[in-house]
Amino acid sequence: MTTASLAETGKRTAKSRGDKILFFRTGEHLCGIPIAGVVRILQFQHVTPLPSSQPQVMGMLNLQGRILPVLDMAMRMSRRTFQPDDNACIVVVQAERDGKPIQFGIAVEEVLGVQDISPSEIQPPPPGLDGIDLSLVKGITGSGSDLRLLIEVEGICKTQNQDFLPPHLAQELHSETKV
Amino acid sequence: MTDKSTLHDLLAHPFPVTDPPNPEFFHAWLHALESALVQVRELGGDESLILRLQRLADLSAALLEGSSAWVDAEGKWVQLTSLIRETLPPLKLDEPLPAIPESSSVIAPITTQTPSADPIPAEAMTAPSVTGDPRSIESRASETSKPMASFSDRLEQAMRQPMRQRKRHQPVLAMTSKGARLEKEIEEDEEEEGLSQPKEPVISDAPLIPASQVLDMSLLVLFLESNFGELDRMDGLAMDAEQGNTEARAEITRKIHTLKGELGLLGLSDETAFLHRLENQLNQGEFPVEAILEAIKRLKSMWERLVEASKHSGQYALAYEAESTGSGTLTTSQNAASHNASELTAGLQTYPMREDESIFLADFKTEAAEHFQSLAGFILELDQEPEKPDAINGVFRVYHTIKGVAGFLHLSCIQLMAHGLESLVARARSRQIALDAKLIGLLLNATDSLKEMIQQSFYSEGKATVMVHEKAAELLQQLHAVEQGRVEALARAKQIETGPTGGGDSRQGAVEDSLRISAKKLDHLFDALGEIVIAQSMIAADPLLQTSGRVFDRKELLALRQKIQASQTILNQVQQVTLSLRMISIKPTFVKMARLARDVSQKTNKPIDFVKEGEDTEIDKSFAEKLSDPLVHMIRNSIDHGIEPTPERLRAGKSEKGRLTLRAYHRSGRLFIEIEDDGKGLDTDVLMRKAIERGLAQEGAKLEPETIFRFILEPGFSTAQQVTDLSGRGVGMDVVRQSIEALGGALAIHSAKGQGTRFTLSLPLTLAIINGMFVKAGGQVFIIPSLAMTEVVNPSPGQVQSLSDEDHLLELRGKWIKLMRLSDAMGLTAKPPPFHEGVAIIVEDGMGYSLAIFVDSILSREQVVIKPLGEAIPIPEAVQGGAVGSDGCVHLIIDVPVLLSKSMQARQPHARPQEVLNP
Repeated sequence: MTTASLAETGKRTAKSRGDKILFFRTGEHLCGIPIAGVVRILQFQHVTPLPSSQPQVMGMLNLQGRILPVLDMAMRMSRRTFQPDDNACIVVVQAERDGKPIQFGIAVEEVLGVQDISPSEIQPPPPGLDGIDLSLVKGITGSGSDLRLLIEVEGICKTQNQDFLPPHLAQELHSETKV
Repeated sequence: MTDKSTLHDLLAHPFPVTDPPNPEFFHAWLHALESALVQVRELGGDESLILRLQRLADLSAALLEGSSAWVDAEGKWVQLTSLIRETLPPLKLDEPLPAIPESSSVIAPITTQTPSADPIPAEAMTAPSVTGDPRSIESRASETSKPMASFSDRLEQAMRQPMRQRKRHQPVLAMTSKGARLEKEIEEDEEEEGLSQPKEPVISDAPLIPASQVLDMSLLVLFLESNFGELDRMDGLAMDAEQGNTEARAEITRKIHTLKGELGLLGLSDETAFLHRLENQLNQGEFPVEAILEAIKRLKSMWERLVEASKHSGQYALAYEAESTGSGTLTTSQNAASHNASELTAGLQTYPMREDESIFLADFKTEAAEHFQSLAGFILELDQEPEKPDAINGVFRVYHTIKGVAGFLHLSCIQLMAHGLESLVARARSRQIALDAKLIGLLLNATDSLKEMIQQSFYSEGKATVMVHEKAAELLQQLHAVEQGRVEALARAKQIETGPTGGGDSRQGAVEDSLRISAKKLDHLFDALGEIVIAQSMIAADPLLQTSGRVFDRKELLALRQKIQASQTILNQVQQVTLSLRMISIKPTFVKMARLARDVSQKTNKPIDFVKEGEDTEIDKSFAEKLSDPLVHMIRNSIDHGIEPTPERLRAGKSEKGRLTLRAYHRSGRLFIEIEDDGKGLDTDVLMRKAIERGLAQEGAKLEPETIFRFILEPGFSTAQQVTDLSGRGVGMDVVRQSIEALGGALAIHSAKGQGTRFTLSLPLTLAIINGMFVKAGGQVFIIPSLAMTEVVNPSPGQVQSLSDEDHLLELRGKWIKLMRLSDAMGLTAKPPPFHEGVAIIVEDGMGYSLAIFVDSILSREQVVIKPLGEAIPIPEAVQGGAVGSDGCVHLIIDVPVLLSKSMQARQPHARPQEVLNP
């Protein structure tokens, strides 16, 4: 379960059919997203916190003059706080919402590599898992300790299939919790 | 004194034709003509002679004004000059008139025949008629009754010529001397058409588009684009003039005169005639404001039609008259580059061609081969000596000829290419651009492409086929780019058109996409850019950066720092100017509204004073366009519903005239637009009743006036007893609200019964650079727009009193205002410092409400560019956007108006001070 082994697997299977998946580590999970949705991978850097926002919003990032939000993948996946170290990365992804492209970054602990995964290797997640958000995970793959979760990019900035609350509601909730 | 011979000379050479055209020469001639005119007037010369001279001067002046457009358009120039020469044939005292063709109407110009007491004109005028053909004298005599008409008809006729489908001529003509060819064509055309029908039936098969027509289109485009803004301005002028502003009156007279001349040139005879009558009235001391406004309206609608049509075809000429059935392949040099349809499309292009024309194609190929031989020589000469006149003229001639013949053969792709090359060379010839090695390279490459296209063209079965390579298409684009991208050429015009600053997604109409930018702003930009290049190279050349592994001293370091700082300053300038390019004055919008208010006021028979305030406020161009609709609705409403009819006003003790104020200003980093009337105001009782009726409110509910006023923004909400053709259907305000909200704005309504109503639009300045105060609160850096601040206070101990954990008051010059911790407002949990250690920033909402925002400290003041935070996640309400600071990090910009309204609502929802109409 190291970068090297995955990278090699990636090379070996590069010719095989299937989607190219970018794998990364977040918390104790190995997750993958289709490479098609990845815009750029950056080394982890300072992001400006956005006050009064939900816990998985880490903050705002300057990407060549554009400002993008960065989401904490660990918090999003399993409500664990993200601990950046030297391997940490921000993966800038693009998704679609209401027909419009949206871009955001996800903070992950380590980017592992790209691998082809054919549809036959993917199994739908069994129901009844509590610790992770199943609206996010659309499949599992791999074997043994190499279990990997396939993530839906569109789902990352939603909670339980719901878009974030509109700002004023979020504000109200926030002030309620404060009072 | 003008002596006989001067006048004689003038009339004998009515138009100085030079090849190449020489505007200076023409200027001098025009000047002489004008002074002659003045003197003939002083001498009390023959009325009709004066008229004729006047016409000549008018026309010449109009030509001259447009002449800059023709500098690169030799064909056109020569053609116009010959047209005028045709129209006004030289008069020789001792010579008979030139032979007059059978169709007597061709000779219209010499219309003055009346003997006069003044010896000069009499002699000049009568002499030819004595010796002329008796029949022609008759015909001329019959026309003396309407000298102006015949002259202008003829002129318009002649001017219309190039706009119209040409009859097919022998291609050899196109290869011969230009002037002769054009004159001959005109003669032939006139003979064929007899000048009696102003419009000729359309020749519907594949048209011949003569080379000169390209220029006509570009002329039309130029005219339209340069004048549409003027039309709006004229609206304003007309209204000012009506109020007795003599300067405005003089200006509008001038403008009408100019417009008339230009329209005449374009062959728009109806409009010209209309303006001519208008001008006469003006000259007689009348001021027919209605007619003027009508004329402006007509011209505007004409313009809009043209623009509309240009969207579909990319061609003005198509839009203008059905006569022109150009197949969409040929376009103007103006919009060629921005229109994909007008570019060359790679691949095999076929054009319908009759069999008998195919021999011309063969001829063309042979001739072109000869031309290309000489062309290569010319271009290489230019490489050695970029401004060598012989070479440059030679090159121009070749392209021009090829263009003409290709046009005749309908080979529009060849024609486009040749036209592109010709225009470039024309610019080089008039010294608007310099032919450097790069351009020479481009010329050579494009010439090769052109040659290839011609050599590979062939005829088969009613079609001519030309192979267009992708390279050719690219080269043509480059040609256009060079032609359009040149600063020197652009800066000459007072105002220039430039392409959209945004991305390539808005490519619909060539006209709509363009942005009018003052040349001054662009000049600034180019100056600054030039400087930044120098500053940058100075840094690069700094000895400190050139050597490595050396100990350097403080002085060297300082020197480098200074250079970097200097470049920073210039860069800021560049940024500022660049962003200001999108900002335009709100004035045109205001003038439009003034015009509307005037119309509505007349229709409703309610006299009003329309007051404009803050006309110079700059707004984003995209806002200016989108604001127009909501403003129209609101102004209509204000006059139709707000302002009472005169008797009612008088009964209420108000002035007879209603007062409608349109006001724009920037405050708190936002743009505010207000529409205020002194009418009857909104009646809360009536509104309430209606709201209950429509189920919007509960019976007996106690609502704030503010809330009740907002009912009028509901769809279908109308209290009008009677639906007029202006308003009252209850659609308007709903639409207004929607469009304002779409712009990220808000609409506030203040009204006092019997006193009036004020609508306040507040809009963000999304694209603006703002001066931001970088502050620290709760351990994080935020930006507060400086515009929103009124002052900054270091509270002394005791100046802040806390009523509770969250309610604090700051005493400011004897008045207590609410103090809000920014960290609280942003929901940060870091422990704030005691009040006397921090800073209070005072902001106000522009309506008399102040708030103190408490921060830990102020860090710096910088100019920042507001950027949106994206749509991926919800953004806290109090955050307006983000900006990248000098540290490269994102900082959040506080939305002060939101903080203000939240601070008011949060604690004291009903304590909002009673609104007054005049803040």
